[in-house]
Amino acid sequence: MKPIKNKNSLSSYQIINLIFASIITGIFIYSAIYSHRKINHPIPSVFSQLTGSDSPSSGLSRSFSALTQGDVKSAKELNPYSIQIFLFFAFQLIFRIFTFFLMKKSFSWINTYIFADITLSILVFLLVFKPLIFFTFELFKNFIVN
Amino acid sequence: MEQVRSNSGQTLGIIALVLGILTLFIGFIPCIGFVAFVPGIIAIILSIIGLSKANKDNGAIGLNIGALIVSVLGVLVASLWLFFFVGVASMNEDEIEGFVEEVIEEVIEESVHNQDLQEALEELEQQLEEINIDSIANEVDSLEMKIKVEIETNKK
Repeated sequence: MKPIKNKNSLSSYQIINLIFASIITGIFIYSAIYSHRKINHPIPSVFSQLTGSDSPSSGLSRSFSALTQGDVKSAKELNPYSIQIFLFFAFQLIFRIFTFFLMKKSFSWINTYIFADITLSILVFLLVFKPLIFFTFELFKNFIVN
Repeated sequence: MEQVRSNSGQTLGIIALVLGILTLFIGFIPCIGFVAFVPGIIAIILSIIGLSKANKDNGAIGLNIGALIVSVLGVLVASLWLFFFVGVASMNEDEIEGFVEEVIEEVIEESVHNQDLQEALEELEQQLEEINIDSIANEVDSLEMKIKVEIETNKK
């Protein structure tokens, strides 16, 4: 029995790309709407409110706002990891849009392309989010030990 | 005879995968980490329903399995935050602050861990110390000289 290749596998991948492109665009629009000079971002830092301390993600929203307005210096001061995270999202946005349109034409190596996309995205995610991932596990480890 | 695959469970799989990936992303942001619990649970439920539908109607299961794995990982990370916040409620402010500061210091140390950079920073620190000492010594010398000159003028 020879299974027929699912004709809709491409469109599933395209839909996922489109959804992520929309989500990332939403994040950038959200960042651009609010100013980094005013503390008026609607998403509060639950961590800071509960612990009274800052975390590696503190100031990330304001930092993203600064970056969308081209103020790299302020962004770096607000959160040192924001630039790498912002670049990751920017790269993902371009890649998702590019893939959404490109994949219509080159269909033959779609599986290899998807595999490369998943591998690359995971690796870059781990690299960019390393301080936040490290903080999460280290905090929990110390919490268990104490 | 050819086996025809249906699209059953595909839409649920897509939604579950997107929610699962979002769960994992949000889970690693300390400020809102525990919020990831909500999309994570929804993603797990959707992927299980999608998986059973795909199995029943001979649909592709890869997407749903991927969604399930990612969302379970995301929920595990979100659970860590829930655990932490529940535990923190029984601690006093000073304990929490000291405890968190310690971890933040470790993160900073880890993120700037570079042998060449450390050596360069140490060298720079030494040079700065030397510069400070020299400038103080010069200032003292010039003060002494000034006093001497004034005394000599008074004698004359």
